[in-house]
Formats: sequence, structure tokens, C-alpha cells
Amino acid sequence: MLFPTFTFVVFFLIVWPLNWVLMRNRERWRIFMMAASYVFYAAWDWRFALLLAGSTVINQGFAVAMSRTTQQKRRTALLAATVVVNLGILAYFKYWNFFVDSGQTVLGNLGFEVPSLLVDTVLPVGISFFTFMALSYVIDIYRGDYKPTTISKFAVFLSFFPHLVAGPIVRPAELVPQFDPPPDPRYVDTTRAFALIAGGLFKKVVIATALARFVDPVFGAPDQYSSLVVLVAVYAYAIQIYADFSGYTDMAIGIALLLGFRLPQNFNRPYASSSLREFWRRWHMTLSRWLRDYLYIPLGGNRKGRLRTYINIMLTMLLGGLWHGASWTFVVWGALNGLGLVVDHWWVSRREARGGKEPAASGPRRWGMIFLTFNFVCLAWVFFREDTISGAVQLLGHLFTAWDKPSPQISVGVLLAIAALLLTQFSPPRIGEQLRGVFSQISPIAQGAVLGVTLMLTNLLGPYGVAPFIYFQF
Amino acid sequence: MTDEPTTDEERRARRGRPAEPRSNLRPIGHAMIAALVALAFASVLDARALYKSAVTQPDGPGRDVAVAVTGALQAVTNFTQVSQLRQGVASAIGMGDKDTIDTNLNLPVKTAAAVPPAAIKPIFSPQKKLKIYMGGDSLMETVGMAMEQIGPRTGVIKVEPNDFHISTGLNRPDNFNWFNNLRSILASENPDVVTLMFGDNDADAFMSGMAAGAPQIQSFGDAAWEQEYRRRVGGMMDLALQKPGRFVVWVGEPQMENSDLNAKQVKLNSIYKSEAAKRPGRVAYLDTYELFTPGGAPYSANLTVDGATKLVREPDGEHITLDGGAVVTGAILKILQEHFTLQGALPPSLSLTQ
Repeated sequence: MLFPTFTFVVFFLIVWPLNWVLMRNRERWRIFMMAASYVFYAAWDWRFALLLAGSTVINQGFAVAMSRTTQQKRRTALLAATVVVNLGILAYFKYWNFFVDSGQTVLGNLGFEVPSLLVDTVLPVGISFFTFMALSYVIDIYRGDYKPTTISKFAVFLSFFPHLVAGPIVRPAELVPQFDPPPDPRYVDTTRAFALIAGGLFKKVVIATALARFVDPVFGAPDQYSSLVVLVAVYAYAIQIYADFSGYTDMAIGIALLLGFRLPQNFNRPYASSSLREFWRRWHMTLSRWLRDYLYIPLGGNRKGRLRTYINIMLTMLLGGLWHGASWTFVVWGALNGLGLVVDHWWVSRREARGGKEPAASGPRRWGMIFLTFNFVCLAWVFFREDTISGAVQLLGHLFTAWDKPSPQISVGVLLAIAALLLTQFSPPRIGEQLRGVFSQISPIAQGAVLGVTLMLTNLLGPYGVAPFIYFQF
Repeated sequence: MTDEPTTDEERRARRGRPAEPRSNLRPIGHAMIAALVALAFASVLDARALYKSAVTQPDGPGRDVAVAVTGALQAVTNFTQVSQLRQGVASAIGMGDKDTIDTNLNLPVKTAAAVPPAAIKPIFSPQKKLKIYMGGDSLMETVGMAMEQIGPRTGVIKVEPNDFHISTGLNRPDNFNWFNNLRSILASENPDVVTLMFGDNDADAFMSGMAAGAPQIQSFGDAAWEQEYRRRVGGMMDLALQKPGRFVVWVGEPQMENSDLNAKQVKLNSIYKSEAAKRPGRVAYLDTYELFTPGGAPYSANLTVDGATKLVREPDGEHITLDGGAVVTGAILKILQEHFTLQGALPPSLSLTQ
């Protein structure tokens, strides 16, 4: 069940009031929310629900067993088992064919004949997201940062439908405490919720779809276009993926707010970043901090000298790349970002060693850094978007070799969509706050009329049918 | 990777302010009223679009109910002129036709004449490239992608942008009018070869755009259904063949994992094959059923291509992977070599076994 569909509207119109009616009876509410979330998830494939239930039971079992023992060795063994089981499930569904295919290619090139071990599986939607959330629950308990909660609370935490299929990746300490005491129905952040839902819907349905129509054919056959068109397509893809993913998670956060729960922010104007480090603090923020807290810091972070810091960054980004998909293009994408972060860290430490100052908050130097960062991110996105490394290299090569090639015109709509989204990256936050302040003061009927017109415009400018969503494949 | 993220919420928290000013918080009842008003208001403004969405649904009781409800809503909004607001905005931005349901097929009435085998095959070279168009439903996506990658490498083939449209076919022009789409592509791009692939969304008895007085279809595969579907398949071929010298490759459906769906694809393939046979020398039928499962083998997602096992089918048991698309592309190129003299670097034929 995708958010921007009629089916979801019907589902939510049933779940929303019942959520508030049942809120006072906590146990009933938990059963209800778990059931609603499983219905939402099973709408793709009922077998996915079994997988989610299995993950819930297994992880809760490990968490409880870990909390009942004080022996460090046993706790560590339990943690290792949890990680192996979770990553094993993820590996089977997501990475098995990738590794088998890569291995077979290598062995085949060496002259060995190997039987096919490829498996015919469907990748369960959102498995990467809920696996990481389950891992953070067990690891936090291992570290003593969190105590096991009841299985019903953990089940709701893991399956809560707004974040289930595409994040944000929530940590238990952020969501579980919100279950008790229940949110106050008199003070709900509805204005922010409507703004996030309407804005997210527009980004997803209108901007991302319009840009996909331009981007797909160019990335499919770059040699049929001029360098200028390919360059605009590279920028357009950067905007498309941002509109697509941030639009969907904005809707998720807004829907959770209407149910009375606050999920963490996932994007914070990433293309206004003046360094790659800043970009990764603003892009898919909940994944970045997961990788930081559960991978980079345990690897030693920046505590073991400069070289180890760089190695840790590279490892974190390589695995972060692979998290996105089972393909060498994602590994290259992760490596490029890792390399960029290493250079960034080296540059900052060199500047600090020389007693240099940070660039001013505005001014030509900062704008130059923003331009450089944006272009580096766009370059890396080419590997993220292409199916093969050779395809990405070919496309990048085409940026320099076909400036005089006759090519179709770039539509005004595409340029407008790119410009509009880039503009939002640099607009002061207070504009949004002021608009929300005005909106919150008008009557519910007037609010409904404003939202109705917004829906009509989104529907008019968007396509018929449901546009596919990029991050579901992850 | 080492610093805490800085979000708007955190900035507010640092200044000792809540995530959202308390004055912006509202009772949940207000939000529910606002949401219901918004949905009602948008439904009224979007009545024509909702009706079109309902009409283009798959056939069944759900569609009947949706058409009845949205039809009534549309009648009211037309009467009260409320729908003019959306129509006015749509016209102003050049999208005036967006809500129009066009089921007119406008097919040629004459079957394209057969052409005897030419003594000298038409010649194409790097100076005079063969322009190929790839169109179809979602199964064409990876086939077209593979052709876009492999075709230009020959130096003699120019591939038009892949024209696949997900969830479309020949039986529902209300959903996507392939006949108008092909007509407009042929006029604007003028390809030498038209490659078409349909069927996955046509395994259904319901058809829109039926000619007046056409016999009533009772079920998939009955005489009335076959007559109408043949008219559409042949019509698509004849549309493409209106230009002398143009060649059509009709790509048949591969074996499907689901046996019920597969039985319907076998029926559809028999129509594609026989309609192609009615236009000898101008239409070639590519049997992908045999290509992916040679010698009547049962369904398999894997295929041994030149000695290496490749995953050629998607896990859904219907769609084709990019490796599978390359296999189909290889077969298309082989057909083209039989029909044309292509003075380029054509890849060698693939050896395929189960």
C-alpha cells in the first residue's frame, strides 16, 4: 500500500479516528496499531508480514535473553547471534544473487564450471529499514543504553506503518517512550503534519515524476543526446531522487504526527551543504546516524589516529553504499562518497593545523563550496542511478564529447522543477514557520479548502496512476 | 560522520523552544474536519479526473461501483460548473486534454500488402543508419534498454528512446491509447523498423473502444474477443506498414510462471503469430517463448547463454531482466540481418540452452 493512493486514503480514514478512540486503553491500542500496520504491510504480499513477525519474535527473544544475563561473554555471543540472524535474512533476500553471480563470473573467467546457485526470490519491501531498526534495538540493549520493552511495544515500534517501508530509521528510545503516556488529543501538531503531507505529496507526485520522464530516456541512452542535455539530466536526477525520497518520508512523518507521534527529521536542505560532511548530516539523516553510531564509532571512529579514521570512513561508506542495493554501482557510489569524506576530513584537519578559519556563513567562498559539494554529489549519483559501472563511465564520458550533437530541447517544466526544488534548499526556515502560523489560525473548514485546492493542483500536475518509488528497492 | 545532525527542531530546542510553537497545535478533531473538507473539496474539483481513473480501472465490481459513484459526482459538478475550475487551470497550462478519455482506435481498414522477398536486401550503413523504434508494455522496458545499449554499438542502428508504458496494452485505450501513440510516433520519428511487444496486460476479456455493433464479448478467448483483438493487433501492424519499406518485429510473450496466465499468453501469441504471417515479408514474429524455454522446457528464470547461467526473468515470473532483454535484443538483431543488409559490427548469435 503506497501513501499516494486511494487505497491508503481509505485505510487511513479508518485507522486515524480509531487510533485516537483507542488511545486511552494502551494495550488495546497496541494490538490495534500492530494489526493495522500488518494489514498495511501484507497488502504487498502476506508472506512479508510473516517475515516481519518472525523478525519481531527473534529480536525480542535475543533482547530479553541478553537482559537476563550479566555474563559479558554470553551477552556478546547473543549480540553476535542477533547480528548474524538479521544480516543473514537480509543477505539471503537482498545479496545472495549478487554475490553468487559475482562469484560465478570470477570462477567462470578462471575456467571453473560452477552450477547455478541463483535463487528466485522477491525482495520484501522495506526489509533494509526494519532490519536496521531491529538491530539498533538489540545493540542499544547490549550497550545498556536501553532496556527491553514488552513484545507488544516492540512489535508496534518495528511495524508502525508510517515508517515501515521507507523510514525514517527510528531508534527505540525515540518512539517507544511516546507510547506511554498517550499523546494529548487537544494539542496535536496538525499544521506541521498537513504541511509535510501536502509538500511531500507534491514533491513525490509532481516534481519527481516530471523529472523521471526526462531523466529515464537520457540515462537509458546517453549517446543519443548532447552533452548539455546529459548534464541537465544528471542535475535533474539529483533533484528527482531528493524529491522522491524526501517527499515520501515527509509524508511518513506527517502521517505519524496526525496519529500523535513524532518521527525524526530525515532531510534538512541537503543541497545547501557546503561540504560533503555537512551533506551527510543533512541527507537521509537517520541512516547517516545509524551508520555512525552502529558502524563508524564501533570501528573506532576518529579515536585511533588519522589513518584509521580514514579507513573507518571508507568502510562505513562502502557498506552504506551496499545497503542501498546489491550492485557494484552502489559500492562505487559508496566509495566515491567515502573518498570525498576522507578528503574533506583531511582538508579540515590541515586547515585547523595551520590555524585557518572556517568559511563564513555566506559569501563567495561558501557559495563556491556549495557549488563544488553539489556537483560532487551529482557525479556520485550517476553511479547510483546507472545499472552498470561501464554505463556510468560512458555517461560521464559523454558529458565532454557531444556538445555539438543535435538533441531534443529541454522542456521549461524540467528546468522549473529543478529550479523550484533548489530554491527550497536556500529559503529561510522562518518562511515556512510563518506560513504554518497563519494556516494554524484559520478555521478547519478554511484549512480544508486550502488543502483541497492543493490536492487538486497536485493531482492535475501529476500523472494518472501511481508513480513508482525509488527507495522501495532498498 | 562525527558531528550531530543539526535540524530545525534541534535549533529550536537549543533556543528552549518546542519543535512547533504551542499556538500552532490544534485539537485532533479540527484536523479531522479539515481533512474531510479537503477530500470532499478535492473530489468535487477533480470529479472529471476521478471519473477517468475509475473508468480505466481493471474490469470488475470495484470498477462498476467506482464508475457509478464518480459518474454521478461528475454529472453534478458539470451541471454546477464546478469542474470548470480545474479545466480552466488545465487549459491555461496546456493540459486541457488531461481528463479526456479517448477510446477511438482509428485503425486502417486494409491489410498491408504482402511483399515478395527482395532480390537485394535494403542496405544500411554507418552513414545511413537503420532507425528502430521499440514500443510496448512493461516487458518492453528491459528489452528496449538492452537495444539502447547494444544497438548503437553496431554503428549501423539508431535506437529511438525506449517507449514502454507500464500497465498498458491493446485492450484498454481508455487507459492508454496505443493506437494514437504509435500514429504520433510514426509521424514524428519515421522509424525504419517498428518493434512492438504486448500481451501481459491484455489477458482479460474486457475491452474499451469497441466498434459500434461489434459482437458482445463474454469471456477471454471467445470468438467475439478474438475477432476484436485480432483487429487491434493487425491494425497496429498495418498502422506501422502504411509507409512502404517499413518493417515490423512483433515480439511474442515468453512463458509465464503462473500457469493460468501462461495459458492466456499462449492464446495471445497464436494471434500475434498468425497476424504476422498474414503480412509476409513485412512483419516478423519473434517467438520468445521458445527463446527463453527452448524445446518446450518448463518455466525457468535462468537460461544458459553462451555457457554462462543468466537470470533472465524477474522474480515475479512475468517480467524480463536486463540480461533477458539482451537475449531478446540478440534475436531481434538476427531477424533484422535476415531482412536488411546491415554494414556494421553486429554481435554474433547467442547459444541458448536451458
